[in-house]
Amino acid sequence: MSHPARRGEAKAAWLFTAPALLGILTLTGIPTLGSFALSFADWDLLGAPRFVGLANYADLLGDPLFYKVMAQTFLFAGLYVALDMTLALALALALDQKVRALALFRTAYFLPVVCSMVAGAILWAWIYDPRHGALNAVLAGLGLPTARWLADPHLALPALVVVSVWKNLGYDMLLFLAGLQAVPQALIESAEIDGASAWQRFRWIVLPLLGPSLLLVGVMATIRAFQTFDTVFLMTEGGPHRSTTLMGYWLFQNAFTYFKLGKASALAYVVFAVLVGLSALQWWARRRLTHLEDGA
Amino acid sequence: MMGCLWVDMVRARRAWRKAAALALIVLAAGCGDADDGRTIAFSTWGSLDEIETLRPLLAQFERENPDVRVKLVHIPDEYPHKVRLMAAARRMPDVLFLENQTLPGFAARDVLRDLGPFLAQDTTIKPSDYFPQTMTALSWKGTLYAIPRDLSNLVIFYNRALFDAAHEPYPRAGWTYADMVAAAKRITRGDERFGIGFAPYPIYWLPYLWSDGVDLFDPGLTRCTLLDPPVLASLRRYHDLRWKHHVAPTEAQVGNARMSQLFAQGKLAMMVGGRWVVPGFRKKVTFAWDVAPFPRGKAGSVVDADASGWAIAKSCQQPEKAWRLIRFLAGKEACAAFSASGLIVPARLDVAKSAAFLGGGPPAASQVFLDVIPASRPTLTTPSYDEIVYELIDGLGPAWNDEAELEETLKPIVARIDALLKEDRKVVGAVP
Repeated sequence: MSHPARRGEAKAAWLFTAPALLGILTLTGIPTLGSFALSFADWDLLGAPRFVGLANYADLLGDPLFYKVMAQTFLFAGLYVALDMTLALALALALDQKVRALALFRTAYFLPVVCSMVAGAILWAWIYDPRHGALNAVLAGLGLPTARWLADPHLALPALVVVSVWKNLGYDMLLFLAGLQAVPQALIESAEIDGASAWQRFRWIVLPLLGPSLLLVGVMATIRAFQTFDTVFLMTEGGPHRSTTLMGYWLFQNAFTYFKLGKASALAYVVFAVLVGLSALQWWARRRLTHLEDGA
Repeated sequence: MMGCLWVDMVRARRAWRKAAALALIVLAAGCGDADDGRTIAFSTWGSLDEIETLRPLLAQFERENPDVRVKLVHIPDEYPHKVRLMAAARRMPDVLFLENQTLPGFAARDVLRDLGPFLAQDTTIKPSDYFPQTMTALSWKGTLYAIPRDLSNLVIFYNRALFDAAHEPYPRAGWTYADMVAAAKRITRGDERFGIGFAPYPIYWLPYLWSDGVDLFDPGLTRCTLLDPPVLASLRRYHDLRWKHHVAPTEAQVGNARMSQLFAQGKLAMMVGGRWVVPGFRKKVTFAWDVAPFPRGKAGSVVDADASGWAIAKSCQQPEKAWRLIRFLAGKEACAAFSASGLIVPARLDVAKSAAFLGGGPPAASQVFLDVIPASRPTLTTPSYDEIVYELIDGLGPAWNDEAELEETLKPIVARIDALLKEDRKVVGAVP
């Protein structure tokens, strides 16, 4: 069936990917299977794990905190993905022009991506400080009401959304920029000649052609949102009043603060199922986008 | 401005420390010990100052015991986490420094050795050398798992200068909650100066409950009692310090500043605190200060008598060598060295009653730490204690800020704690 040369190529391909594959299998594959097994066990790191069947899953479903954490995580992800994609696309559009000091702007927006999250968290904790923070100082200076931000159960979650968006915006902006630069200039110019307005050109030419970028950024941002841990760990520790306890942080707490490895593993698989579901949804949406693309 | 900068710096330090601790946890499985038949891996937490005290002692031990090498595993932060990860990686230290609140988690999993037989056969140390409360604290279901280094309890630290300025008599043994509030009221001045400290951590409000003869749990650890009327009344008296008597600083007034820092700045007349703040106060505090017993409630003046000590892992291959290390560290000489900086209340009666503890600097009334011991007892603890404490700190926040009613706030917290206690009883069985 296959040509000898091609078979040789396949062999080379396997050889070249072997180190990476081995790494993924041992460092990701085995622990993934291990944690699946652990989700049916009771284990606190001491002694041997004890098989408990579906007790961990039952425990989760019977825990009111599980539903609170789940709802908050969806809220966080929804706010995050919407804000992140809108801002990243807007920035990419703004920086896809011949602006002066373009490189400077692109670098500036990309800077938080390469900066350490710990440093970022310290910076934002200062900004949000209710007494000495920059944000309240600015608000007070403008005669606007101030707030307690991270100490307020209603504002802490949105405040963390802003930090997360700030952190990764530059990366998503770059992905959109790459997508924009792949849009054929000829299409835009001909639409311009046909009298299409700037909005019409964006809505009917640029946006449909950005379909793959939108999907990629959307999926990545959703996964990132559901995995959010560092901002919560560094800035709020899940409080106040559990209002910022997201799935990733609660999982960590169960595993490494409360030593409930079984419950934490069960939680990880629930998150996994949610992410698979959401990704499938996004693929389905992508098919609709492609359809639009064909119709254009 | 200084205060603001300080708060910021503390927060920055805390964030870095947390990140570093997380990195340590991830790396934990990598640290093993050479099994050469004479090396004992010994894990401990503690500040650099504490380690500076420990190192020469370990060197001396090695000189006196040439057949033993001690490999010190210093874990400054997230200690129980790292030790557990080491255990999971089958790299559990041979000798572990533990405190009584995390001990049941280890003891219930049968990873520690019963030290009773070791102590019974030893000729250098004996049970009566130590405060009996420390031996109780470090036992689980009647078995002794660690030999105590220190006893940890709470007293009132007070600023003599502020009391003098207000012509207020100093707190003294036998004083009551009402006396404390009255003195605090006369010293408090708006946002500038506060009568008594306030912190959301249960260790700081539990003495108010205990001194009224009630506790967080029933004795069998089957349910949380915070909604029982007498317990709720006690907890409300803590809430009252902020919102009825207005003698304790609120979050709006001081942000997240620690009480020991406010005290050191001279802004706080009294605070509930443990011996561990003494080395810092000796270095930083410029005014006269001292300690007094916690004020009396309906049941007297009752604080905790918690303890830390050294345990031997079941996995230790050379228990006899490990025991020699422990009896050396728990001996009179080492205990006096640990006490010199003022950091601990020694678990040994002979050292506690000597100048090593009672002399060496303020507080002049160090004897108070010893006087309160007979009425004290170890904190009731359970494997889910960390999670329970988190729920109490985070969940009670709105009530402590007077944004929500205390009883209403408590209802879901108590339900959650009850569920956790039920889980714990399933895992480790009934409490004797």
